[in-house]
Amino acid sequence: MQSQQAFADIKAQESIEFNKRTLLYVQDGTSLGFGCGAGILQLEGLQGFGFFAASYLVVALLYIAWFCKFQPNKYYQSPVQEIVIDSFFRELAGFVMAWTFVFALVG
Amino acid sequence: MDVSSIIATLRTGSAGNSAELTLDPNLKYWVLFPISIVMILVGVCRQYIMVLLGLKTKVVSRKRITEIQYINKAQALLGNGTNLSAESFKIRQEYLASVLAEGKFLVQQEQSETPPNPLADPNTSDAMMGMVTSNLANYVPQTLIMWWVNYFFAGFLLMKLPFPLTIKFKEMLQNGIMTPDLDARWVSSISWYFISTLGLNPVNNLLFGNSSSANEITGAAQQQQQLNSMPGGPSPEALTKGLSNDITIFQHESCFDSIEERVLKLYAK
Repeated sequence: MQSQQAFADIKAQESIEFNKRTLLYVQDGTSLGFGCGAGILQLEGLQGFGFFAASYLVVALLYIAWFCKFQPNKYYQSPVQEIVIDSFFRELAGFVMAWTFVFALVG
Repeated sequence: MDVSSIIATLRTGSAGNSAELTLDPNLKYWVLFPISIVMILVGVCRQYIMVLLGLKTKVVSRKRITEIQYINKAQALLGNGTNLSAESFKIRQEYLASVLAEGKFLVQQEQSETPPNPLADPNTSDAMMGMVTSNLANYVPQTLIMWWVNYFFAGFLLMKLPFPLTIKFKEMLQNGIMTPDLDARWVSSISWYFISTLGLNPVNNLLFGNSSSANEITGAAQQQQQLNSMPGGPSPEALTKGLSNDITIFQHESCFDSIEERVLKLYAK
């Protein structure tokens, strides 16, 4: 099994990019969608940010369960960093934009 | 002030005097929508301009590619040599060591006294042009839209933010509105511009995620080739000399050594 160990850390750049893109697509779509939801529900202040945090974490967990089949190590080099931390502020900005927009439209 | 009252303050924005204003609903249709649509359209235009500008193919001479590929071949042999049997490794070792040592595939360049000017090389200047245009494509539309929003939609409140802001934001977001006591949550159109500049990345990704990502891949591949011809790196002569030495002294250990025993052991159970 020596050769399998030797090949364990061979990475395909295309696959890494593809995995990141899939994750980003899911996160972008869900954060904008939940932003619209928060606007429709007319959430204000901390409630809205709490809603974002909850939805973001739930989406990350669902992603790990559904797309990664509970094995994020297989698809990402540092799963916690790449799935939860890296795109946090990007998704927060998207969420706030959708939230503000729909909040102003509905309210 | 205890914790619950602080939270209540945060929820309602400011303590006590949260005046409710009634805004004209037409503001939504004639200010909010136009700004959003223009921002998205500018994103689309920028995307396609970048695609059009990025179409130029990089020019690398055939000799240069041969040189790079021989260097890569030597590195691949050093890295993956264990997968070869002893004799086939030996053939490649001898061949590559001799070829690299005598510099058969090196690009013949006349050695000038001064190092070549990196600006004169068409490939590096192309890369710099790419960086300059991408920066311009980011900043020019932003300043233009900001001017447009400030010029056309100034002097009235557009919307109420769903989250409280500190009083410091008042000057920036309620610019031009003469109400000293108004809560900072009521903001003018420029703040919608700021929020949407921050939040448009996900929208752009959803709109044309595929094309931009394909672009990035080819860009990365081109960059890799660019890296090989970066000025300031070790010269190809030194690289090939070093590699030929490495190959000559490389201790080869084939994965085919005693493979029968290992296979038998694997299926012995």
